[in-house]
Amino acid sequence: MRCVMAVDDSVTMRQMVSFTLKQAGYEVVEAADGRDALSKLREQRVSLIITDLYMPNLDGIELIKQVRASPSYRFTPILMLTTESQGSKKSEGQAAGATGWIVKPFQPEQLLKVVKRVLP
Amino acid sequence: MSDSGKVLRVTPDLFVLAVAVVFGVLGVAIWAPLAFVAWALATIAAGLALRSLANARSHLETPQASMCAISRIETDALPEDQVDRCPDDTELLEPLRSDIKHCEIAEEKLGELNQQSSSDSSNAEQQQLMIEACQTFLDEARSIILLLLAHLENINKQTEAAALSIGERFETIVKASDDQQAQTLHLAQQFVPGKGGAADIIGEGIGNLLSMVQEFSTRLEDNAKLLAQVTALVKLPEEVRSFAQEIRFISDQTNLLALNASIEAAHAGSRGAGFGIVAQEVRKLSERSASAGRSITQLSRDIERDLRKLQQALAESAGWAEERTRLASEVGHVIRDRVEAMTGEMRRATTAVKDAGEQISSEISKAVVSLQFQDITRQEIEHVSGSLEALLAKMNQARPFEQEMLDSVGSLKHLEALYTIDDERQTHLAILSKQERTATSTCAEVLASGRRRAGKEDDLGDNVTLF
Repeated sequence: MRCVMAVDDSVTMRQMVSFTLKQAGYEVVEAADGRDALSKLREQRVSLIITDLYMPNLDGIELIKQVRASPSYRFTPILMLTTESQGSKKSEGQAAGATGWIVKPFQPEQLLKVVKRVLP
Repeated sequence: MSDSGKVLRVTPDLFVLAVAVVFGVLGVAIWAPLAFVAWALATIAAGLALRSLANARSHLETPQASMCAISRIETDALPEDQVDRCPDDTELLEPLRSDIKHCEIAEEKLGELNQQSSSDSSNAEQQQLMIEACQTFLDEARSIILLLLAHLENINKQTEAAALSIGERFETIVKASDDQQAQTLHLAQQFVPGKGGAADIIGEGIGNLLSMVQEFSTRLEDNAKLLAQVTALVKLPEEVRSFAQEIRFISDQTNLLALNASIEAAHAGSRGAGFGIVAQEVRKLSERSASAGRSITQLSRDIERDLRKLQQALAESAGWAEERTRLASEVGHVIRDRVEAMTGEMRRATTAVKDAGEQISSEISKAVVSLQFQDITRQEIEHVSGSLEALLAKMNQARPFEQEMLDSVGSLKHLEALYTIDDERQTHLAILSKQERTATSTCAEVLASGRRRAGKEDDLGDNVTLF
C-alpha cells in the first residue's frame, strides 16, 4: 500500500487530507510541522509528502530543502498544500524542490487526481 | 501648541480603531461560524485604524488645522457607517462613550486654557493635561485589545474543536455507509446468477425439477402407447371365443354325425360293427373338441378379465402420473418466475444502494471542502490577532506623541506582511483605496467551481500548479 505523509499544523486539515487519501486506499502518516515530519521520516519510508507552507518550528519550504538533502528522498514527490497563492512564494517552493502547489481549499477528487499524477 | 494638536488628533483616530475592532471581533464572538465575516470586519477595523494613524501623521505637519479639528472630536470618533452596522449594541459602545467623555473633558480644559492665557507656562500645563487624558484612553484601548485577543484565541480553539468533531462524525458516517453498502451488495450477490450464490442453487434445483418433469412426460407418452396396446388386446379374447364357439358347433355337428353313423352301423348288423367302432371314436373326438372349446372359452374369459384389470390399472396410473407431473411443472415454473422477479428486485435495490452511496460520497466530498475553511478562517483570525498584538506592543513601548507610535507606514507594512491568503491582500487593497471588495472566495464558490470541473479528466483546477 502506498504511504503518504500529511504535514500541517491544523488538525482539521490533517484530518481532511488523511480522510480523503484513506478513502482512496492510501496509508497516511500525519505530522504537525516540519520538525515532526523530519523525525517521522527517519522512522518510516513514504512515497509522497503533502505539506503546508506556514508552520511553527519548521516551515514547508525549509522542510522541502532538508528532505531533498537526503539521498533517499531526492526524487520523492512533494506537494505544497497551503492558503498562499503568491507567485513569488510558488517560485520559492519550486526552487526548494517542490513537485506541485495546491492552494487551499482542495476538492477531494482533485487531490486524488494530483496524487495519482505525481506518484511514480 | 503644536504638541497639543498632535495629541488631540491621535485620540479620534484611535476611537476609529477601537470601534471597528470591537464590531469586527464581537461579530465573531456572537456567532463563531460567521468567523469569516468577523474577520472581514476586523480587517476593516485594522485597516481603518492604521489609516487613521496615517492621517494623524499628516496632521502633525499642520498643528493649526489640528486645533480646528478638536471641535469635531465627537462626530469623527464614531463614523456613521460603523454605528449603522450594529445600532442595538449600546452596551458594547459603553467603553467608547467613556472615552469620548474623557476627550470632551480634555477639549473643555483645552478651551479654558486657551482662553486664560497664551504664555509658555500655561502651555506646559495644557500639554500635561492632554497627555494625561490621552494616557487614560490608551490604557483602556490596551485593555480592549487584550480582551479582543483573548476572544479571538477562544474562537479559534472552539471552531477547531467543532470542525474536528464534525470531521470525526463524517468519518463514522462514511464508514457506516460503506459497511452497509458492502453488506447489501454481498447479499445481493446471492441473487445474481453465475456467482455460486443462492440464485444458482435455486436455479439448479428448478432445472433438475423441470428436467425430471420432462422425463416423466416422455414416460407418460410411452405409458399411453402401452395402454392403447392393452386396450387393443382386450378385444382379442372375444375373437378367440367366437372361434371356440365355432369349435363347439363343429363338435356338436360331429357328435350328431357320429350318433347317426352309430345308428346306421347298428342297422347294418355285423357288417357295420367296424363302422360302429369308427363312429364311436369320432364321437369321442367330438367330445374332446367340445371340451377343448369350453376350455378355450373359459381361458379367454380369464385373459379378458385380467387384461381389463391391467387396462384399468394402467389408465389410473397414467392419470395419477399426469396430474403429478403437471403439478411439479407448475411448481417449478412458479418458483422460477418468483426467483427471477426477486433477482430483478435485488438488481434494482443494488443499483439504488450504489446510487445512494455515490450521493453520500459526493456530499462528504463537499463537506471536506467546507471544513477546510476552518483552517483558512483560523489563519485569517491569527493575522488579525498578529496585527492587534503589534499595535499593542507599540502602545506599550511608546508615548502617544512620539514619532514611532505614529509611524503608520511601518504598521501597514507589518500588517501586509502577515497576509498569506489572496483574499486578505485584496481586502487590504480595497479598504486602503476605498473601493468595494469584489474578490471573495467563499465556500459556495469553491464548491461551484468544483462542479464545473467535474468530469474533465485532465483538468486539475485553477488552484493546482505542477512544476
